[in-house]
Amino acid sequence: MRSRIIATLALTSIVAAGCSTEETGPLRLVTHDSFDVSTEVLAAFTEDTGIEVEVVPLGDAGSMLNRIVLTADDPEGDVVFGIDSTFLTRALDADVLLPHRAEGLGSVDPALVPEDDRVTPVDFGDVCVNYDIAWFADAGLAVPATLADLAAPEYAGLLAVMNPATSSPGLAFRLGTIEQLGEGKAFAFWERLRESDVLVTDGWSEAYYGAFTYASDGDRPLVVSYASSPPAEVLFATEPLDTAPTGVIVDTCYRQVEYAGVLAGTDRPDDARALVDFLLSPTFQADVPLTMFVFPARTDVALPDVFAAHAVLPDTPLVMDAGRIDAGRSDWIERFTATVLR
Amino acid sequence: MDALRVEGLRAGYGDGPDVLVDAGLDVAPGEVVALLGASGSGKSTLLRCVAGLHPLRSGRVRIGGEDVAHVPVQARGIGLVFQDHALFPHRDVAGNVAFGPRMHGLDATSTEERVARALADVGLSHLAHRAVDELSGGEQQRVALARALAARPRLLLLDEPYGSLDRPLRERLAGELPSLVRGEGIGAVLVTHDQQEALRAADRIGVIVRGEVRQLDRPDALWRDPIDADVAAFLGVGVLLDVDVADGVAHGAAGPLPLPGALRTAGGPATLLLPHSALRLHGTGRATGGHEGTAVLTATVVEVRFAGDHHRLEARLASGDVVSVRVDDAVALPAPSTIVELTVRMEALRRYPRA
Amino acid sequence: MSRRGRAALLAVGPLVLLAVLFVWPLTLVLVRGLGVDASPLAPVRDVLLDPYLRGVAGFTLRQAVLSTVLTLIVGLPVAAVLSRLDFRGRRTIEAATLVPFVLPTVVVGTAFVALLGRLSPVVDLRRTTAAILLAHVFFNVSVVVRTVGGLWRHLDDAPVLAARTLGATPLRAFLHVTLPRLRPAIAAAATVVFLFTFTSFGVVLILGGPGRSTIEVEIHRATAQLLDLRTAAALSVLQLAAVVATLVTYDRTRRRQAARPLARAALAVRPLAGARDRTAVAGVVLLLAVVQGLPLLALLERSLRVGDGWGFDHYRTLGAPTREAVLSVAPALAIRNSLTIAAVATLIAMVVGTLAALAAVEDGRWGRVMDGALMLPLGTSAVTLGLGLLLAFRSGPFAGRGALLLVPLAQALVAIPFVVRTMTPVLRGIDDRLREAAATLGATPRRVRQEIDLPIVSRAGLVAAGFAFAITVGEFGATIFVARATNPTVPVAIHRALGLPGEVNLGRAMALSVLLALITGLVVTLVDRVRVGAVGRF
Repeated sequence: MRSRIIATLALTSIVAAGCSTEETGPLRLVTHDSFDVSTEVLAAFTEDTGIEVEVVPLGDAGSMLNRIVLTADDPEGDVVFGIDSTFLTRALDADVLLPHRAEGLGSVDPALVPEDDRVTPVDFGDVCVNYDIAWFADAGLAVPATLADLAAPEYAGLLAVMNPATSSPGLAFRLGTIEQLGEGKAFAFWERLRESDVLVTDGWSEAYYGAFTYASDGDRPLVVSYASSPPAEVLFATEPLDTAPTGVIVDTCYRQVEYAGVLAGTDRPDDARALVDFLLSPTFQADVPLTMFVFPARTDVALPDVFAAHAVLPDTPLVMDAGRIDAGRSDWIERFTATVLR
Repeated sequence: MDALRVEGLRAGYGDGPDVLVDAGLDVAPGEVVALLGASGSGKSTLLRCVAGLHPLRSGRVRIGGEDVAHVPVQARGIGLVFQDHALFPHRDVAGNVAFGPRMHGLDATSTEERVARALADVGLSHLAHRAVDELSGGEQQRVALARALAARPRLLLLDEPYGSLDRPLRERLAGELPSLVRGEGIGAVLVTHDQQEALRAADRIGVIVRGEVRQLDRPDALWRDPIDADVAAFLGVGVLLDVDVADGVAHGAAGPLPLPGALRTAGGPATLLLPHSALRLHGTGRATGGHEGTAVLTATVVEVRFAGDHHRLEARLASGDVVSVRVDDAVALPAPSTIVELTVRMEALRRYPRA
Repeated sequence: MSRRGRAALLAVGPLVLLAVLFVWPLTLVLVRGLGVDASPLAPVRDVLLDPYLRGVAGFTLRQAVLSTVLTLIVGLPVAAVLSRLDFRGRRTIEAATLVPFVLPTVVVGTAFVALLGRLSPVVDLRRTTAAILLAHVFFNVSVVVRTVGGLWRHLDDAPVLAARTLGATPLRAFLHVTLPRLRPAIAAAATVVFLFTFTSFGVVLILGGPGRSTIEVEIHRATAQLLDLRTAAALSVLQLAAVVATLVTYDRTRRRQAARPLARAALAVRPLAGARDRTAVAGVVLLLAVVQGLPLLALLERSLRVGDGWGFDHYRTLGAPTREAVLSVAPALAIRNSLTIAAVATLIAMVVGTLAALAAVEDGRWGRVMDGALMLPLGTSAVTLGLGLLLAFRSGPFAGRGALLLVPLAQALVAIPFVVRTMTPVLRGIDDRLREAAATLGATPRRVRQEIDLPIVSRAGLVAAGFAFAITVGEFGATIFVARATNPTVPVAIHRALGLPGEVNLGRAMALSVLLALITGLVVTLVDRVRVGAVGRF
């Protein structure tokens, strides 16, 4: 019996070795877990160019970027999508991307295009405080209008946010408060939030599905989420809805841009550039709202009806300069931990 | 032809001393031989040597006349019943019993017949499809016996098979063994430390002392004529007295005893066996003082016990040894601490060299 | 070959796997994190001097100790009743206790939040340490039930009865006779529960609320968000030190315990006799209903909630993806993936675990070394290990498509200690006389192995395999890290569904969780049915 076991082990290792035989595989698109693309849209790209694409999600946006930085000398893919504006500087400093001026950049909102040509903006989304419309109506309470309102006594115990240390929207909301209030006032604001029993969760799912009154049995009618969450609630409702059941507090919106780039370690730079161009093509851009619930970077593609009807696009969202983010991020996260979590 | 003949068997464990020293044994077909011995005397090792589960250092084992020195366990044609039965936990009762026939390549129908018969023989037909761990101890023992018999062995070996059972069940099962063995026409060796069990089951009994089968004989002969002091002591036949023989009289702490002619051979130190059965309370029964062939010893009464259909008197001799004397009911029972005279039937005495 | 030599040879396979999948990746992370400074101890010192991190370490330890004690308090009576008394539904209840063990933390978190929300008018446990402890008990009670119950049903009653006749009350007889004899199993269960809760991550974050962070959370923060490998490595070293200390302590207590005689086979459970037995069963059923049943019920209710009413809508749509998109795989496919990967992982865990168990049987010292070494991954930061696997295998045989094998290998690593602990006592316990009995009945040595060793071991193996399967099918930490996007497992699919707003997504995640629970319950129940009397259990 023992010899059979050893034989099985040996066989296992042979199979393992067999799997490793290198072949020219598909072009690998490294991305985060929230990425998706309609099957026929990606198939169209392969049909047009003959390039097969394999999607490789590597965790959330932060984890993905860390993996790219850690494996710079031997990357896990050829193209990366999903570097967001909060981590842009880290990606650029690590020098893991090749320059590329994508086709169609001219049709992109100039505010989204960075000076550095190693990254191409593909989409943007706003992180905003969402509210449960029915809850506020039942409670007879006015919906908070501004960021500062959130710390007011009448809203004590109503807000759920995410830890900026562990959550990308959590960090974005945090940056928004600093951008709008200034560093000093922002910390005073967080101090007050803490006193008014703000709930801090690790990730978006835990806040939204664990605490938000509309989506859970939780007790928080205010939650940090996205401007696109209301249309998603309409689209994914079990019974058709005429109006969105949740709303967005526009004053709290912080804009995140997602970029794509060619990874420096690729041995197929031309194919990789073609894929980046595809990400900015009208076909892909039109697909973005309903697969990833973000807005396309191009201004010349039509939004789907559910977006047009239920999504909010703030005129003047909060945005922070990438350099400032990079300089302050670690310190702010530490101080956040100190003010809110300790 | 003997069902089993063992000669000059020596065996031991690792580099240790011999556990079996020159052991010998023979069993006739249809006969049950019980091996009695204290724990550690080597009786189980002897059984394992016969089964082929333990290597011999020297000696010979013949089963049905065949020297089995080079025959592996599975080809020896033996059935072995273990103390805690060693039933296969992953098979039901019938599966356990069918094991032997299956190993011998019997087809399904014949196997079934054998199993049915073996279970019927031990009275367990109704439990064929029960899990073995649901059975009582006695039932498990019967399954173990049925399992061994269903393989149609030439020789049945039982290693303390009733050890874990209570006394009445133990004696009943032991009593059933001879007819089963005779029915099969095979020989059986029953290893036990329990004299009652051996007396119930065995045609002959072997006493094993320190790795040696000292004596193998019919039970009555064994109790009448223990071959040496060790056997006599193990069987508990009587008390052993250290004496010095001079001029046909044994002198010891218990008092002088004139020896019968057969024991007078020479003078010098000796060990004398005084069987309990050779003693009577003086002045009672057939043996009376001063008659030819008897002697009288004085003793102090320790207690008198009722033993079912008679009384027994426990009395301390002058040497300090305590003897147990049968007292006929007709006699007035002496009180404890009184001094009594005991008649010794001299022909029952045995003389051994002083150890 | 000597026994020790054979043991060493058998141990080669398991130790190589451990070296490749655990030691090497971990070393890479530590070298990278601690190699920055002149002295590798400098980062560790910095962490120790940071009052915040010291507080985190303190909380981590406190909650783990409390969770372990609480799990034992709940688990021991359950083990007592399930291992000694027979009643209708006993096996089902026993299988059901294992179900929570495999549910993804996020799902359990959601279920608990739902439950605690409903309870809040009566007692508000939301965002308290108590909530964390309750969830830890919910997860781990089966570890105690299986480990301690497994030993308990082999203890014979005689010493307890002797104590009772000598004047001990039932409680004193339990404390002075039964408890000491159960100590090896209790120590083993406590060690496992401690390791699990010491490295707890999701539960703490979801249920703990602000201010309750564990070492594992801090490692995640340092690694995933700050890319501060220095701190992460230092924290990992501390975590590892605590885990090693735990295992050494456990080993000490075990060595002090000489092997104690057990009843030879498992004692038959006895039917209920009298009001006291019925009360005991009712009490245990009620306890489990509260500790494990209520959260599961909350999960079930959530999966059936459609709009303002209830229905099976979320289950009906499981066959198809929500959209025709590359990564939106049909849940049915995720279930198939999960079953396939878990089956492969189980096979690997069985092969490696059996080798380790055989080595342990050949030589007790090797056995102890193996047992400790194989437990290490259970107590190591999943984040750190994940990072290490990435650094170790981004090229070579496990890169690209080889990662398909890395998933079950990583999952197997978690299941192996359980396999070893199930198999070792059985292998050690096959009575030599069974083999001798078979030989005297005419079985050749080959037939003896076929007819005796194999069936008995394979039944124990089946028990081990069922457990390994249950663990691997719900495994998430290692899987999310190496799983290919287009082949998600059920936990990965649940995680993804929970990443989007919308009732359909939540309902789907909950329905998948319920299915995962059902599959696990089914597998464990089936395995329990084939168990035979003398065969050991995890």
